[in-house]
Amino acid sequence: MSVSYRMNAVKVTAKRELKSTLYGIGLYVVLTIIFLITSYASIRVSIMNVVNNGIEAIQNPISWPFLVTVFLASTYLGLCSAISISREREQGTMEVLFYGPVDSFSYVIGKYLQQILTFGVVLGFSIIYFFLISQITNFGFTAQFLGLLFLSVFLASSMVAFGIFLSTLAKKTIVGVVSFLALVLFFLIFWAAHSVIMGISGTNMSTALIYTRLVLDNINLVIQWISPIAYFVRGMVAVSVGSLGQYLLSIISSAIYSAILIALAIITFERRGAKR
Amino acid sequence: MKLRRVSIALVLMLVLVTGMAWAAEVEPRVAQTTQVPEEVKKGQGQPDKEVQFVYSLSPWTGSEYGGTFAPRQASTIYLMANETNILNSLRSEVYYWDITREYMADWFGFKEEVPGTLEILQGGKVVKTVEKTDYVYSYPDGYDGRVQLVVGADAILEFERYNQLTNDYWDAVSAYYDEQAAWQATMDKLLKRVQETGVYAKPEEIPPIPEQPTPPKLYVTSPVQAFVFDLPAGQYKIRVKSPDGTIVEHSEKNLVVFESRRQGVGFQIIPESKWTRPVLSNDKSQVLYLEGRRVFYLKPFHEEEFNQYAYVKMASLHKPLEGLGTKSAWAWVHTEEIVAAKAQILKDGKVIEEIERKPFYVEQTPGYALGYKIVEWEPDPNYPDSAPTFEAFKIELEAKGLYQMRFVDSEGNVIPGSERDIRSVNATTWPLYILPLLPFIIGLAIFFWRRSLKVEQVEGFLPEENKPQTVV
Amino acid sequence: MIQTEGLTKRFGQLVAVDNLNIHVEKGEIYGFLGPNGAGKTTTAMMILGLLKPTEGKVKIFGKELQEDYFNIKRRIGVLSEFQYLYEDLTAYECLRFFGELYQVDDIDKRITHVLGLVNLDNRKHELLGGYSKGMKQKFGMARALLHDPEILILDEPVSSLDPYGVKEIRDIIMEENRNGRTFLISSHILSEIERTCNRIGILNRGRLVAEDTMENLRRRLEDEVELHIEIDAPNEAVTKAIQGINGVISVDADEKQYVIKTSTERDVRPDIVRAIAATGNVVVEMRRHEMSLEEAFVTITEKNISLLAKEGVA
Repeated sequence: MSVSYRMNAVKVTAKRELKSTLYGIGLYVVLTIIFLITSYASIRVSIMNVVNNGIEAIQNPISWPFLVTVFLASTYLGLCSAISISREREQGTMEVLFYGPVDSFSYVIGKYLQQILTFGVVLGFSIIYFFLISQITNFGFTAQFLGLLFLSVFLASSMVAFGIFLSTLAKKTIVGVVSFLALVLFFLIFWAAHSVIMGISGTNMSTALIYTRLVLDNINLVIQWISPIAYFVRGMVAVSVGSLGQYLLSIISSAIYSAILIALAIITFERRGAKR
Repeated sequence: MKLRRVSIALVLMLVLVTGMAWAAEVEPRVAQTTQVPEEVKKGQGQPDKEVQFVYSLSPWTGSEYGGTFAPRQASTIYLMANETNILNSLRSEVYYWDITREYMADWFGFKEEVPGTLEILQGGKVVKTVEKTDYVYSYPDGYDGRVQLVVGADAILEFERYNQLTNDYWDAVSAYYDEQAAWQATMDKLLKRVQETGVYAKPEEIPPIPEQPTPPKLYVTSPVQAFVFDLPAGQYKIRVKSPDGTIVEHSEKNLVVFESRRQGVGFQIIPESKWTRPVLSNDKSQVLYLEGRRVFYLKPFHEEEFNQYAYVKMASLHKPLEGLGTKSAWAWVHTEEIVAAKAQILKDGKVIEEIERKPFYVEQTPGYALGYKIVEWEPDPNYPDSAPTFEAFKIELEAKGLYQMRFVDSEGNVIPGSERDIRSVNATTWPLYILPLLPFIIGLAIFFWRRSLKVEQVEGFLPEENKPQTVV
Repeated sequence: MIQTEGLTKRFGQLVAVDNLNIHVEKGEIYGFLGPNGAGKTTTAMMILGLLKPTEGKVKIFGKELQEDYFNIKRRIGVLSEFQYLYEDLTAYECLRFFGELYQVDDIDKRITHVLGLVNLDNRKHELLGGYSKGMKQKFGMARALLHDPEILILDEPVSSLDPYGVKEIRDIIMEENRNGRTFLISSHILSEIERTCNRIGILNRGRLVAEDTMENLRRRLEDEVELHIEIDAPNEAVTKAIQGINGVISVDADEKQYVIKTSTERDVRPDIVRAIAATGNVVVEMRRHEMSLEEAFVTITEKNISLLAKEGVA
């Protein structure tokens, strides 16, 4: 019986949160900005490269922008997660919820579900946008894209779970926001630095570069399991490599990562309580 | 406070794990690289040589046999799975050459065979023993051509065949010189007679010019004894057991046998407009995007994708810094150019063009423009040494919409991994800036609707508690 | 309905609630009183499971919260002092949300009913963000009643309301209590508690110092009875006659009015009436001055006394 009550609490809180998000303008503004950036910095550049070079052998130019969109949108959702729990605590609405049949589990899962549902809305807009882009540019709408669509839910889940976990740790909204952004930025910079350094080829590299490379690669052994961005990268590689095994592994690892963070979030939340 | 403690704990964990990883990975190499310059310093450019047990290695790299060796400092040897690899146990003088950052073996100064049997272990058990055997490299199309490894008695036979062909050739050359001398003598006589009589010689009196013998294309290296073996992918240990049953000192090493992650067909795409700047397409998921009418030349290769670290280490074990920090990287390796094949262009699933591989020549156009054009190459008897600039499949497309490209072998079977989509791009960019506004418009509509619920209330607000109540 | 056993909450060195034992009976309106910082809200939060007790336990409907968390929560309605509302939702949307959360049957009908109770049914499609403080308070009451709870825990239910609103909420409480609902009301407005509550618990410095009906509290707090008597022709003889009655402590005369203080050991009113009649006077009015809750509260909290038998003070 308590399971059905709990599931009801999850469903109802998620629905309310989703409504709240959809009734605000934030999501739409963010999506518009992301799409504008994608159009200008990625799609236009791809077109110009083909025009200037005559021929380009690249993966579908909408795959990368789509993943960037997923990344930015899920970062936004992760940020919303990081804000929402601590803000709801600060505003006291959380307390009101816990007067009723809501417990830590249903509350955290409800938050998570809401962000995933919101991501569903993001995906809806993204599908429309990228489909129209692919038709206008003739970049094509491939099966690979469908694979990315499905995978993106798990990638977004990693980011959202990361945000929720941080928000349960933070006492104040500002702490949640700053720590989330700082960590995502760190992971992003690390990934970029790692990719650039690893991309340098040649046999006569300086010793400093070799050691930098070695240090980054070793740190990456750890980062690749704690950074939500690493799950994006793994997913991206899996899709571009076309390996079903890696694709499934990416989905499973993202799901496990999300589950662990959500479980930690529930435990942290349970210990902190819902009181302001 | 709690967040700070958790953050500190996370950072400490990160530092600890990184430190452990660093210690495991870097420390031995740091030891290697820091110890080496000391040796160099001592010798002031004349490094100290140390007699070491080494494994000389000729690993199959996908397209040829490489050459490296494992000095005492290298603890792990890397080899490709299911390929025949060659490994030999030797003693030589080894030194580190700091200028090129590599270990060198002075094979010419000191080289000693270490007899014995190679034992390959897995999980502590010997899974394979390999005796030294003869082997030769055979190059049927000449030294620049493809290589074949011939092992055992066949190696000796192959080398004898090569020797026989070479001897035959030299005999033929000798005979040719004799025939040439005889022909020259006959011609001299004939010339003298013509000069003396003034009567031209009849055509049937003129002897045919002796034909120069063609040297054999085959090249075979001298037979050498070594351990020749192949293994499935896995982690192994190796050691050399000497004839007296003891394990040769320093012969124990780890052996990593790796395989490719993916196989496919890679392309070198030479655009007609920029022939010196070819584009690579190694991945099947890549699409060839064009704009307008385009001509390009394709050179297809079989390819395999390997872990970059293992691959680089396999071929450069004597260079301790090579490949460091690339354990998580993957690299495509072109193994063999695809020659006996045809390119097919498809539209809506139907083959609309079939293209053969042809030789091409880049011809500089005269004048100030410094241009060039790529033309089909044909042998010119006037220039017997002339050669094509490249051989490739010429694709010419007035790209509209979507095409597919693939390669088929001589039997018409599609070569796996050779398929690529070709798409023409619409260069109009203005719609790109209109589309993103869609969510904003929807958001704005929702925003104003929600706002209207509040505005109405505020405008017509009369606090409920100020209204007279019916019950007092 | 609600029972706490040795409930204790410590925040570091601070003991917010100390060994609290209260018992709210079915169908009663229990007033929970105490000065600021006495531990009323902490107690309420522990009852609701929002704070974990350091020691002791809470039983609601005879069970601890963890035993049947969702079922117990579904049977409790809560109105807090401050209204934390989803201001981006309309009243209807917000109640609909809570209705779904509590799995209320026929939600729309119920929403109309509870909004009607607080006179907000004509504003249900307006955003809560635009509501005044008083409206929010009344909305909170509607939310608390929405799922037809058996117990209502109200924290300062009338603090933001004007007299009309106070009356409205008081009427709702009385009406719902008549319908069988149990109330636990925490309020600093003593007159409201006095008017509405059957039983009162007074909390001071985290300890329950009194728990009884108002009448019993008075009785236990008063060490003498004050009688106000008006007679038709007061004179010295009347004063003397009254003073002569066994149990009378003092008599103050002021024109027609006598203020007589007697011991609480026995009721001397019949003796007084007889004594006055014997002097040929007639008693026009006799009334007993009763201690107000405010006086009782001040007496208890300022003197830091406990009226609980357990403490040995009465």
